[in-house]
Amino acid sequence: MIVKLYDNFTEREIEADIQEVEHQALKKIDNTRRFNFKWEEEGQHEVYLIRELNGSLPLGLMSLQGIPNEYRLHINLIESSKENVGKDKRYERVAGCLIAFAARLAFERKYDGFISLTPKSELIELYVAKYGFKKIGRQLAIFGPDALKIIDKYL
Amino acid sequence: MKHDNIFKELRKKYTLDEIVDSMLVPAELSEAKENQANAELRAYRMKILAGMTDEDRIISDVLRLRFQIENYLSEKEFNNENTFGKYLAEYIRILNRTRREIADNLALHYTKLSRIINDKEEPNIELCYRLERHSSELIRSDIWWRLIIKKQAYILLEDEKTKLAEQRKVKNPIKLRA
Repeated sequence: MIVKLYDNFTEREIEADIQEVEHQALKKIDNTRRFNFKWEEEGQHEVYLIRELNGSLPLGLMSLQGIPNEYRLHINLIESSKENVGKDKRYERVAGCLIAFAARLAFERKYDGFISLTPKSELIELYVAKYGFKKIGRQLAIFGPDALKIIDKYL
Repeated sequence: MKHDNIFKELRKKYTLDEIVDSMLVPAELSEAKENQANAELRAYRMKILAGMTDEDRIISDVLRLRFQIENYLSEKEFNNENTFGKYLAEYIRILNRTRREIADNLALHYTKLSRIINDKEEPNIELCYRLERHSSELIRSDIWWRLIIKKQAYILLEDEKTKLAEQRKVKNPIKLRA
C-alpha cells in the first residue's frame, strides 16, 4: 500500500509503502538498533513495516492482532525508528499512516474499521485528541465514520 | 515491565506529545486488569454490532468495496474479473436494490445499465460522477474512472489487429536514426 510521508529535511512529500514483515526478519531489525522495543517478541502477531518506496530500511513498525470473534483488530505496538522521533525527526506521519492502515485492514476484514489499543494511561488523552479514539473502559477504540476520517487523512 | 522501562527511557528524551506523534506504547496491565479491560471492550463491541442498522452495514460494505477496488488498481495486471461492470454489480448487490431501482437512481436506461454490468458497453465519465454522488462520495469518481482506463490500457496493448489496421493508414512517419 502506497502512502505519503513528509520529509522535514527536504520539505517535500515522499512516497512510502506498507508491507507485512516476515517473522524471521524481526531479529535482523532488532539487530540494527534503530528501534527501542524488541520486535522479535511480536513474532506471534502480524507485523507491518513502513519504508521509503523502493527503500530497504523500515521507518516504522506496527504489531497487530486479529480478534475475529469480536470483529476487531487490536494494535499491540507501533514504533517509529529512532531518527523519526522527537523534534528533529526526519519523517512526519509514520505512526498516523500505520494506524490508518490498520483501520483500512479492519474494513477489508469486515470488522467495520474497528481497531482498538491499550496505551499507557498517561498517553490516553493525547491519542484521543490526536486521532479521535473513544475511551471504552481502559482501552481505546475507533470504528465506522471516525475510522474513515483517519484513513482519508493519512492514506 | 519491559515496556515500562523503555517508556521511562523515552521520557528522558521526548515529551508525551512527541511520543504519541511517533509511537503507540502499550500499557502493561496485571492479568486481572487486562481481563477486565477486554471484557469491557467485548461488551461494548457486541452492543455496537447488535445495534447496527442496515444503513451502517451498507456503509461498511461499500467502504470495503472501495478498498478492494483500490487494491486492484494498485496491481499492474489487468484482470477480466475486476472490471467496472463487475464492481458495479457488487455495489448494487451491497445496496440490496434492484437493477431497475439503480438505473432509475442513476438516470440510466435499464438496458444500458445491464450492458455496462455485463461488460457489453463501456461506461463514461458522466456515470463515474453519478456513482460518486450515489455513494455519498464513499467511492469517488476517479476510482471508477481508473477502472475504465485500466481496461482501455490493456485493450490498447493487446489489440494487435486494430493496431496494424490503423497504422497502415499512416504516411510519412518521423524517421529515427538506428
